[in-house]
Amino acid sequence: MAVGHGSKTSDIGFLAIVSSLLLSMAVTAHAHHANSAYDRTKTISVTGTVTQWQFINPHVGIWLDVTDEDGNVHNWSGEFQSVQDLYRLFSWNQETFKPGDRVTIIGNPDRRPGVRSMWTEAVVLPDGTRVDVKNNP
Amino acid sequence: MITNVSIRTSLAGTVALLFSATVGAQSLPDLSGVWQRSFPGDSSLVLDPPMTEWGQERFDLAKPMHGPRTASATESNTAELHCLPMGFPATYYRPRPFEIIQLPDRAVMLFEIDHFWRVIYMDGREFPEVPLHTWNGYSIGHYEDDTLVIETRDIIGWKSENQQRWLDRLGHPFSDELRIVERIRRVDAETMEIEVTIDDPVAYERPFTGALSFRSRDFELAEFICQELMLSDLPEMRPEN
Repeated sequence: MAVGHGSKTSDIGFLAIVSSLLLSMAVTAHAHHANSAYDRTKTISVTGTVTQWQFINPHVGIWLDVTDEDGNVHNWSGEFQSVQDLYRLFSWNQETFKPGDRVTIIGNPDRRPGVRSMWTEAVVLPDGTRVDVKNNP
Repeated sequence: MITNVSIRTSLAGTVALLFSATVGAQSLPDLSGVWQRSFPGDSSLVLDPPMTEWGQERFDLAKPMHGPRTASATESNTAELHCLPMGFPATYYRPRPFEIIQLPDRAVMLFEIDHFWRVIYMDGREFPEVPLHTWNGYSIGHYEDDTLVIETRDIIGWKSENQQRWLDRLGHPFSDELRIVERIRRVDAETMEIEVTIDDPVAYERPFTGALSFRSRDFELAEFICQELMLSDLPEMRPEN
């Protein structure tokens, strides 16, 4: 893991946490309030350039400028869990993403037509590392 | 200059030290530490509490963001969307950790969510003769063997469709008459259970009891300010986004 100040020990902890979380996801899929706004039967992926990283509670957000097949640029947002969850699990903070970073976000799309937003399940960092963030604390 | 406040503070500190040295000898239950709700967890004490007509009417007006009647953030009327305190036991359903500190004359719960604290007075006092209803109520407690027993009254109850007050995340309402008894004990080194009995003759036909489970955490509490919601640009955080 090339996230934050990860170490061998925290890598093992991270894997254990993700494994247990995956097991519990089926049960907790609708446990969080924000999830109801997202279509959890669908998974989408967008790659773009970071325009904003809002590391605040109750939910963290990221925004990307994404260029479609026709060359049009659309701004997408990805919603995450809370500041403390991302900090405790991945050592993420307000410096984790910067405008201009090239990242991919993978997750469940907003149900509302025309709303370019998702509940983020995973992020591919600028260095190519994939981080599964679909967690519950 | 020594003020009354500083004298009281230093006395309390001294007593706390004495207490901590004698806890083992007296075998008082050690509930101290950081706790977080076990996941996955339920969103209510019981799924079908015995509501009165008053309770049912208000339950029907509730638009929760959890359970079988889940509404989106743009439709829900839960107090969580306004970052208002949820009272007890509803606060326990938020997935944020809290810390218990035991002192000789009180127990203190520190909540990560919104940095608020709850004092459980254990100096033998009674409830105030003239109640002052507050968001989290007034709590007194005592120990029974391995259990900390807390009674809470004077919690601001359901007021209007715009000021929902629920026991849980499913929309079960409570009134100003609510009385809660919590029985807190360690099940094992890693697990704490809080058994909660709800007694609210306005909203429920009879008292009922449920239990919540918490796991011990090895991190320290951080700062979680719900009002940051007002700063969020996420479309699902604020309906106007």
